[in-house]
Amino acid sequence: MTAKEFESTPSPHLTLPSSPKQRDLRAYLPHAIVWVVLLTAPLWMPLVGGYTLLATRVLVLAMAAMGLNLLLGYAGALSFGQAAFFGLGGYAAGETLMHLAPSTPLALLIGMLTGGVIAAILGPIAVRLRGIYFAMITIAFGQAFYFIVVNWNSFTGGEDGLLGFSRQPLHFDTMTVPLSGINYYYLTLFCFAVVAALVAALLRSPLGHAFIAVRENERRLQFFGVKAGTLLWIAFTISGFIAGLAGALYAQLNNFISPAALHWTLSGDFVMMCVLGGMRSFWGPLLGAGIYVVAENLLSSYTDNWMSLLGLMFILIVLFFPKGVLGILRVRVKA
Amino acid sequence: MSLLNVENVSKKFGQLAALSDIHLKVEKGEIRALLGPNGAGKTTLFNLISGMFAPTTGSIHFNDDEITQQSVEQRVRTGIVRTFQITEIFKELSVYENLRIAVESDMGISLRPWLGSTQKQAVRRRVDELLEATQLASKAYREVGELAHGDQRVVEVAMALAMSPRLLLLDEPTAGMSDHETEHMVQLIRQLHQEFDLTVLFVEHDMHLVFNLAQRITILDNGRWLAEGTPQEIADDERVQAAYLGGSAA
Amino acid sequence: MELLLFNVLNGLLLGVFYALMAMGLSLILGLNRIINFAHGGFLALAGYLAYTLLPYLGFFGALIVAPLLTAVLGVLVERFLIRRLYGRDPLFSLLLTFGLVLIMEDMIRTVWGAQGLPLQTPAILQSALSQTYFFITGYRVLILAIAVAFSIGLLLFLRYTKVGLRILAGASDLDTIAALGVNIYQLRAISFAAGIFLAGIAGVLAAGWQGLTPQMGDALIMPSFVAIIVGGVGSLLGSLLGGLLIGVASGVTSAFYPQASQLVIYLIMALVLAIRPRGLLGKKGVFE
Repeated sequence: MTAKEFESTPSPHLTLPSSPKQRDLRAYLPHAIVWVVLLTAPLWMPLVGGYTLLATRVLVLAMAAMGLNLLLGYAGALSFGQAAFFGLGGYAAGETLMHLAPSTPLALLIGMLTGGVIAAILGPIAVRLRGIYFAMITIAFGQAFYFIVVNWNSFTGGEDGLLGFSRQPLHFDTMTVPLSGINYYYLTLFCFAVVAALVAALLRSPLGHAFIAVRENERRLQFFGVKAGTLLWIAFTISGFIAGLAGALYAQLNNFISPAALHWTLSGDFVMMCVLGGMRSFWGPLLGAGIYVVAENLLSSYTDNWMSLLGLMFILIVLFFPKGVLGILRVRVKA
Repeated sequence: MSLLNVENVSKKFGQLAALSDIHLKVEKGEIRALLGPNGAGKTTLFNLISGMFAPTTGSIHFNDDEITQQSVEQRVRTGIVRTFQITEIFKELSVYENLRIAVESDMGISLRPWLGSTQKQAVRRRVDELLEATQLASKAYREVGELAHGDQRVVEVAMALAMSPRLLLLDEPTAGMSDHETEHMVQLIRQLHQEFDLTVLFVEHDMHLVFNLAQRITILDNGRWLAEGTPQEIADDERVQAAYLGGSAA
Repeated sequence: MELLLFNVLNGLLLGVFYALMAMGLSLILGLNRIINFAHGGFLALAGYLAYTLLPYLGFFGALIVAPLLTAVLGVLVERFLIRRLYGRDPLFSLLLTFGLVLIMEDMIRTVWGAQGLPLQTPAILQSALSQTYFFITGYRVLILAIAVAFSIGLLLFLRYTKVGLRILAGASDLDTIAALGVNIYQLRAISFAAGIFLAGIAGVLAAGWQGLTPQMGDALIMPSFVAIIVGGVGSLLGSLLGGLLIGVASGVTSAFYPQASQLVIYLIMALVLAIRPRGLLGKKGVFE
């Protein structure tokens, strides 16, 4: 096969092309653009009527959605309980700051661990079911945690949420960096970059390949001696870690966390972000989170009935744009 | 010692006897065809050999080891690999990606979240070898779902090959194929049989193909063993003619 | 002792609502293969419609008409939205019905306001039936009676009518009955409407018991999911029993440890999943 034939062969894949010859600049371009946009966000956001806090919010939600997409878009598992790990990570972070130590990195670590460990424990139970039933389990678990948080007043502040903590300056040997709005944005971006890099690497690994195989043809995988349940459990746990970290970042964004962060409506929002952006695309969740936050902001400033409009958006996407924005774009590229 | 020894095997589904008293011995390096009218029990026998369920009575030995109760995964590991009547592939992935998954599971690294560069190269090399051997290299990066049916079945064979089979079970490998594709598959099977030192047991309906490819033929009828022999012996066998071929052989 | 009985009765009543919701959901899940997230929305809508119709039709009139109207809406939703989801990835039915409930709750809020509203039940039902067991009001007995009636009615309907049998058969194998000439479009519409009707009944009854709020459906839909899981997917009787079980468990827990009364529902679910994934009356082999 000549080099020319290689280059003209479209490669509509979810990861970087596997052939060395195809790793030319064109494949890296979309990624480069995304990073440039993210790195310069505090500069251009005000120009379009936004503000840094909004950008940080997008990143945090995108991170949770990206973790969810491992399950949803790649492994094909209908997880509708991502908010539970997100919210629990947030509460863990808040509690850490309040009771353990005034350290933001520690809060982030504990938030992440909380999400991951709980997912790891619930995983084996959840993965015994598939399809809609798996979705129902994840929803139910999510609600269980919601109720625990709402009712455990003394520890969590109940319905009113948890107050009384705030993000702490980062202490390095040579200096102390206060986490102002912009600085916090870059900290969040850093975490996001690490997560994105790890997820990208994961998707290129045999484990990542196996995730996709589970989605495509679970029965076939059985013949390869790979247990779908184990795979789903691993995906579930990883997505829990990521959601926990996102939640911890979220809690320190407003220095406040409430049970709403665990509610099934937020879980639904995360799923929507993945679908909206494009479930089969690496950057789908980020794009979806961006559109969602913008829509939420715009709509709520124009009308009281923004929830109806949001619901309408869900319906329209399901009926007319199920592949999401990036899915549509990719079809055009292929054709 | 035969590579595969199916002894006295019967399979009942409730009251229905799908197979009764089946004896089958396949020698190492053979290409054996399994024939019979629809409902004769060929797929059931395949399912038994590949481990999808256990026989009601009887035993199955592979390389003198008893495998009657072994699971599918265990049998795959000992080298019994099969393809299906209806293609079971990962449709939205490329040929390369399909083969890669097969290779990675054969290498036992399916669950690794990270591969060193030597291992990555090893995987790549094996996939390339398979692509070469099955003449799929030019289609490596195309989505399998978009390939012609014949090519999809070749991908399936390639995936089976990736599992380092010693006994390859092909369930109607040329079903739904054009003459041209069938010819290609026959050549391919012959080539792979030589190149990889395989033992092949296949189910087919295409007589021409069977007589061209098989070294020996076993015929089943109504869940029972009917006849066995070389293609010529079978063609001359009156019982077979009466029950199955309906006259002279192809 | 009275306290325990009080809580158990409360739990039983709650369980009745869970059961009604769960059966409706299970019907739709079984035949239409759709997770109807909007079930709670229909429940609330029926309650609010009853509120508006009450002055004209009286309580019992509203109790009949409101669920019927809601079921009609259900038929329209099935025809124009749900029908496009059959055969697709279940993810989309979840998302669509999720979007639907957002719209429904918002619309309810817009039309009737976000404040809680009461639904007046007939005066004769409001008094207690006994001095000692003051909490056994006529209304609560009515709720139980209606729930029992509808449950039995539904089960009989499915077993002994032509349409019912088709629904049962269709839940197992839709393609086969379609090949046999059954109009599955009609069947699916009927099944969906029946499920929504049950939700509607539950909505009006719940409104009479606990009042109306736009989010009243939310609190009931989750436990209904649990009821289906505990009772066993694919079994309507299972959903009924599952609902009653978790309701009573919740009630009993209220007597001793009120904060855990909701949590115990999910603990039961986790327990059932760990020990017997198919649920109490579920069909074997679906998941194991």
